[in-house]
Amino acid sequence: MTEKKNEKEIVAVLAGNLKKHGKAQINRLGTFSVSHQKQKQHQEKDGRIVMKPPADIITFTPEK
Amino acid sequence: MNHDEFVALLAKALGSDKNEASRALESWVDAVLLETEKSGSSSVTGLGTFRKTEDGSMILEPDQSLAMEVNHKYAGMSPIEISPPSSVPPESQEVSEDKLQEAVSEETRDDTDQETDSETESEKEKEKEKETAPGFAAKAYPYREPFARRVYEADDSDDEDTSAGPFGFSRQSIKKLFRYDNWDNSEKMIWLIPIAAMLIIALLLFFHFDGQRLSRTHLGDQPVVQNEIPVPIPEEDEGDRVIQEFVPSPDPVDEVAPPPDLDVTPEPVEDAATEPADEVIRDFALPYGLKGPEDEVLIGAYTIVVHSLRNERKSEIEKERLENQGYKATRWSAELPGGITTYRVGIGQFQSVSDAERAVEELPEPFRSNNFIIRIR
Repeated sequence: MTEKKNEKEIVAVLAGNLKKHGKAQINRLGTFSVSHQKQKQHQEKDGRIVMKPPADIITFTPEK
Repeated sequence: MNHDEFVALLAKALGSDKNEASRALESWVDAVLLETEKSGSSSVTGLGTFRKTEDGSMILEPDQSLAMEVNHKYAGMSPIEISPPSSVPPESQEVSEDKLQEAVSEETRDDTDQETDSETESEKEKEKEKETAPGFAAKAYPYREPFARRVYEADDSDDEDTSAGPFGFSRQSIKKLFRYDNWDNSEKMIWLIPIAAMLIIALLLFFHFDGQRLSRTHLGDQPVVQNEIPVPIPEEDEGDRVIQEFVPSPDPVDEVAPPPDLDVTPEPVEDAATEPADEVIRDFALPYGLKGPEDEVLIGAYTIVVHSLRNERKSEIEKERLENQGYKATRWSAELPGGITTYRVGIGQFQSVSDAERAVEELPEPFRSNNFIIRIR
């Protein structure tokens, strides 16, 4: 029960930080961050050229 | 934030001290690493799934709801189509690079042979027809140079046919013109299209000048002396005068001038013409651009989104602020999955994405580096 509660709080702190586009480092696990992908032109297989929308994506870099 | 800062924040959330929070975090990390090592993946509710890759490293597949929350600014956006699918036929796309190279070299070699060795040209053409797969080269490279094929030696079999054709040309000379056997019907049509276009243009010019002549004759027959009537020129600025040239008269009967012996008071023609003139102005001055008043939101145009906010009031304030700076500002709401509403503020209206991209360069920071282009729907 306590472990579940702790996990819930850890995830809440981590997710809250990511929603603010912050970075969080946890020892022995890795670093969580948000990276921005710019909008870019992309050619589909059928020859269409589309402008892909930008995106903010969650990035995880494991600790080595 | 680094590890210590994270522990401090966790301690505050747990309502405990840093040591206890650190121990809780350590045990959670141990559990995650152990499960990932054992079963290859470890799912954490609200965060995502940690997976072990083949090279031994660990990746995170974020939870969908968390990913959407993080990406709320751009959520619900779909790619904008810039150019339609290519019209290249499928069989051309399936041709391998080697075959294409062969086709190119075949074409090049054939051109060279014709320039250097005209005596053996007919034999080489026959050989080329045998070597080349039927229709292959034409499908892969339809862009022949027709001008290189114009002059040909007369064949013995055609010498007998010397009867006169249309315009006094012999049938033989016409056959020479279209002699090249690899020409298909579409290539022959290349020569017919400009001829047909020239004929159409000649006909149009004929009817145009003939029509002018007829109208002059018609006006000359009428007992109307237009030049002698003192038509008052309204004192208007240059713009209004030009616009009236585009405005059709509401009733052509009114244009007929009265006889000169009558005392003519000028009709207020300009009043009738004023209302349609406004429409003309609107047609020629579409509200594209980065700055200026936004009188009309053009569906299908592109705009540069500079704000994507959850707070409706704040989005209104940002829109007003941009308008005060002289920008064309538009605000609209976007419904995201999960019932979340975001309010986006865009500036400018553009006909194409490239126009919008050029306008981005004119924007001040932070808008120049933090924006996205979207189509108004």
